[in-house]
Amino acid sequence: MTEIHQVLVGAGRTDAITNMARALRVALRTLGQSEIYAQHPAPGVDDVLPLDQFPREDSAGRTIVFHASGGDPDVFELLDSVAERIVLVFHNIAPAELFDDVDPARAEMLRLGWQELELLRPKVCLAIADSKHNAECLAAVGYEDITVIAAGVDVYRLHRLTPDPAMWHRLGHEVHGPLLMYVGQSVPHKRPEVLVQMQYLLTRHVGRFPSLAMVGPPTVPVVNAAALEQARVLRVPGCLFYGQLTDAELAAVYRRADLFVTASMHEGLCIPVLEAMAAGVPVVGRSVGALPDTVGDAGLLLPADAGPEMFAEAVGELLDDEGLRNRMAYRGRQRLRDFDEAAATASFLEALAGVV
Amino acid sequence: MVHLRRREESGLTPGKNPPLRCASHQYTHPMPANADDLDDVLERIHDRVEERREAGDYPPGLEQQLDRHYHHILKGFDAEVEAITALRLAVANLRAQSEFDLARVDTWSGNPVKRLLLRIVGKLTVRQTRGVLTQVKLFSDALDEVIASLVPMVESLAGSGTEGGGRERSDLDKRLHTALDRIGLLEERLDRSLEASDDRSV
Repeated sequence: MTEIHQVLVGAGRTDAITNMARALRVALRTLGQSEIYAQHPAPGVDDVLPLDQFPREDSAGRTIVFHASGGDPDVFELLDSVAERIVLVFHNIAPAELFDDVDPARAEMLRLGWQELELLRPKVCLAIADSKHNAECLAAVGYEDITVIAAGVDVYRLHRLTPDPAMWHRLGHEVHGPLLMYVGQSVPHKRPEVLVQMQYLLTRHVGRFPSLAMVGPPTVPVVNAAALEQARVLRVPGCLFYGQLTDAELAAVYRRADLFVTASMHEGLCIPVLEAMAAGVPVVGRSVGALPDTVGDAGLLLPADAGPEMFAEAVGELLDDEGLRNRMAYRGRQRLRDFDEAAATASFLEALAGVV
Repeated sequence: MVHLRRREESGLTPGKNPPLRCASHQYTHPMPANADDLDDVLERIHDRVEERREAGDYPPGLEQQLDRHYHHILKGFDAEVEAITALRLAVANLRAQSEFDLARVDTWSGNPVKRLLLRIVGKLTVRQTRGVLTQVKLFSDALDEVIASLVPMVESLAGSGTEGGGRERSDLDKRLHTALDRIGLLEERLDRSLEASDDRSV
């Protein structure tokens, strides 16, 4: 009997990689037995099994699909010790050096992640990357013949939801003028402080008064806290730090937003950008990592070294040009065709058939 | 060009890249053909930033100044976290010291006569010693309760600075120092009680 199990480092209720694995599991179960195992499943995630329940007994026909997004010694030990073939799905690993000052333990895990990728290479029978940029990163650690398959994401997931009424009401009270939004974890390379500084320039130097909603889990709390403190000390008006929201609350923010802005310095794919495009919200970001592949002409990509001055001008320009915003929103929806979940799953199964 | 790709960042040279096999349904039109409007926008943005810099709307070094300010705050947060960790350790240490028992009263001496004397005095004053220990224990429990309520307060005061709760940092500092002063006073009272109990037991 065919057994194809997926292994993740962490799993969450609404986490993008876990959602990709869930979609894949539906397809894999048509072929045989298939489960998802994670070393760190979040509380309440009961459709993902803890890694210590992984069946370690010898099974010649078994294949493991490993979703690589960070380092973990226990996950590596399992992958290294079992005899199965490994299909690697690479979602990229954040640059460790940016975490050294704020979260050294996490920085160490990220370094470990890259080392583990190199060590696993002989066991990997199929290497898949979900963006060209990720394929290039994987090639840099010695992988060859990498298959690029766009991430299969249900991008309209939030768009279909009814926005949370309480959040909608709250936005009505708190948001004055246009709404700029950002969604992402509070980690150093996402550079949330650049957006706060952009808002400072917009309100103090450019004479515009949008609101800025910052959404996302406090992965490295000090990063978000310091950005918030800068907003407080500089008395920047309109900065709304919402932290992690439910899907329905997030849907409300996307529905209300005029622009999605990210100053991230590193992206392996950037799911929130896809969600913004699904909601018809134009994207402003930096031309780094996989962002050019992800947004195409649906987003305004500034140079990689763009600072808050340039972001402020870009926002001002787009807020003034409704026609351009509409064109970008239209292109965004066109662009999303490349990230169709069913097509991505079909491509994955096709690639898998070549090795299993 | 709208997208300034930086392939060199990956450390790869184009000639050395291994072949990438693309799934048929994607990247058939990787770069937009109709992004001219965005090119124009980018150019305008560049020009406007330059204009504002020349006009003094964006003073020289403004971005660097903002960045330095953020990193200064970030460093401050590290120190704050460290201070709170040190406070937690000190409280744990204090609690570990609050197990009062007759058995912890040292009656040993190298001199056999003194040793015998200390034991006799100990036996004769055991009621008084137990009484003092009971009082000290009661005081210690009360102190523990005070500290247990102060520690989260100190943490939340530090946290409210980071959460932007509206209080000024100087206000938070005053509250923190008040809390620490109270802890200091309670510790002094505890020391005095312990000294008194020592005097009585001897």
